[in-house]
Amino acid sequence: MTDELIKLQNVGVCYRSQSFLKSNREKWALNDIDMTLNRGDTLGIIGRNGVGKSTLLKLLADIITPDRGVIERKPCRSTLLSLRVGFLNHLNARENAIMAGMLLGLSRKEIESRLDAILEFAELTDSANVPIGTFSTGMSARLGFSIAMQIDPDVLLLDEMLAVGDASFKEKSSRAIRQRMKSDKTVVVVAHNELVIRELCNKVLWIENGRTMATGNADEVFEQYKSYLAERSVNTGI
Amino acid sequence: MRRCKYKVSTHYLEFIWYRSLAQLRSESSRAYLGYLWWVLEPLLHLVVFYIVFALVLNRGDKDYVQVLLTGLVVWKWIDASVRSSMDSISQNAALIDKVYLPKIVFPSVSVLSNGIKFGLTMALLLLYSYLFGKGISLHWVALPLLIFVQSLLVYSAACLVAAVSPFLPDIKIIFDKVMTLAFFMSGIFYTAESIPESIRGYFLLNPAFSLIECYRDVLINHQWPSLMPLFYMSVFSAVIFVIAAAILRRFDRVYPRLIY
Repeated sequence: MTDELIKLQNVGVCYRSQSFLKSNREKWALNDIDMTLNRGDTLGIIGRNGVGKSTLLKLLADIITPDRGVIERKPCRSTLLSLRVGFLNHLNARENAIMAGMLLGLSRKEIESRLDAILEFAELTDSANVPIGTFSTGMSARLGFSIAMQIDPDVLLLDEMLAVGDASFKEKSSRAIRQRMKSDKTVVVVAHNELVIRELCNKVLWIENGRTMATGNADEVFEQYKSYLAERSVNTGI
Repeated sequence: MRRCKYKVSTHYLEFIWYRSLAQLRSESSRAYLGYLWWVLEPLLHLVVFYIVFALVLNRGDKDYVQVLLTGLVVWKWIDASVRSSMDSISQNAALIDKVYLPKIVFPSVSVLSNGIKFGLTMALLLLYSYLFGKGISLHWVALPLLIFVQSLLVYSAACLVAAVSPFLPDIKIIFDKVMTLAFFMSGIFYTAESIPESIRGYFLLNPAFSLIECYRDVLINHQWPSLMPLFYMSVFSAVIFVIAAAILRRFDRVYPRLIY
C-alpha cells in the first residue's frame, strides 16, 4: 500500500529582489519539480550546490509556498530539523531548550519533562544554568542537536546529515540520526555522501537547476548523475 | 479537526508568553542594573522633561510631575511596541527560514513584553499618585477600560508596522518620523488646556493624545474619561487590526522569501 503524503507537480519558486533604482531581478530557485513522498519513505536528495535543494526542503516543511505548480499534502506535520533555532545568548541552556523545543512543535510540558534527558545527551548537565553566550560553538551545537532529536514529526526533513560536536559526539549524533532513518519514519535528507545515501535511502531524487532530473532507486539515479557530472566536466573543461 | 486547530493556537499563545518573558530576562541580564532600568529609564526621561519644561521654560504648575509621569508611562508602551515591531519579522529572518510560525507571533511578543513593563510602571505611577499626587478616587475603576483600549491600539499599530515593513524597508524611516511627530503631538509635556481652542481638534486626531488625556482625567482631574474618543479609538484600532492581520495571514509564507 502506498500512502502519498506530499506530492509536488511542476513546482517553481522565484526569489525577487526589489529596488527602486535597479530593475527588479528574478531568480528561479526551483523551476520544475515533480516528486512524491510516500509514508515510510527515506528519500535522499542529491545535486550540486545551489540547485535548489534547501529551497525544496523549505517547501516540504511548509515554510514557503511555491509561485507555480501544485503541492498536495495530506494533513501531516513536517519539520525541518534545525539546530539552535531562536536561541538567545543571554539565557541559559534550560531556557533556550524550552524555547527551541516549542519552536519545533513540542509543548512546554513535553519539553520540560525531557529537559534532563536532553542535557544529559548533550553532555551539558553541569552547564545547564550558564548563559549559552559563553558556550563554545560545539557545545551549543550539541544542545541544539539534542533538542532536535526530541521531535517526532510525521515527516522529518534533514539538510545534511548534521553530525555535530567533537569526534565522540559526532559518532553519537550520527548514530542517533541513522537510527531515526532506519526506523519506519518518513525522512527526507539532503546529502552529498553517496555511501550514506545508498545505505539509508530507499529512493533518491536528483535535482539540477531547479528541475527534477531523475528519481528512483539509488543505483539508477547515481548512474545518471555521475555520467552527467562527467559530461559536464568535459564540456566546461574542469 | 476543530480541536486540533484549537490546540495549535494555544501552542502559539504559550510560545508568545514564554518568548516575551525570555526576551525581558535576556534584555535585563544585558545591563548591570538589570530590571531596575524598567523604572530608572522612565524616571530619567522625567528628569529631562522636568529640567527643560519646568525649570528652563518655567511652565509647570505643582501637578506637573504627575502630568509628565502619566504621559510618559502611557506613551512608552505605545512607542516601544511599535518601534520594536517594525523590525520584528526581519530580525527573526533566520528563525522563520527554518521553522513555520504564524508571523503575527512577532508583533505579539513585542507588545506583550513591553506590556509587562507597562504594567509595572503603571503600578508605580498609581502608587505615586496615591502617595504624592492627587490621591485615590472612585474614578480609578475606569482604568481597566483605558488599559484595554490602549492595548487594542498598541496591538493594531504594532501588527500593521510589522506586516508592512518587511516589504518596504524604507518605510521604517517614515514610521520612525511619524512616531516622533506623534510623540510631540501627544501632549506628554503639556495638557489639552494649554492648547488654543482653535487647533485642539487636530490634536484629537492623534489617538495617543486622547488616550493620555483620558488617563489624566482619571488620575489627576478625578473625573470620568470621555467615552466618545475611547469608542472611536476602539473602532479605529479594530479596523487597523483586521487589515494588518489579513496582510500577515496572506503573506505568512512569503515573508521568509523576502531578501533581507
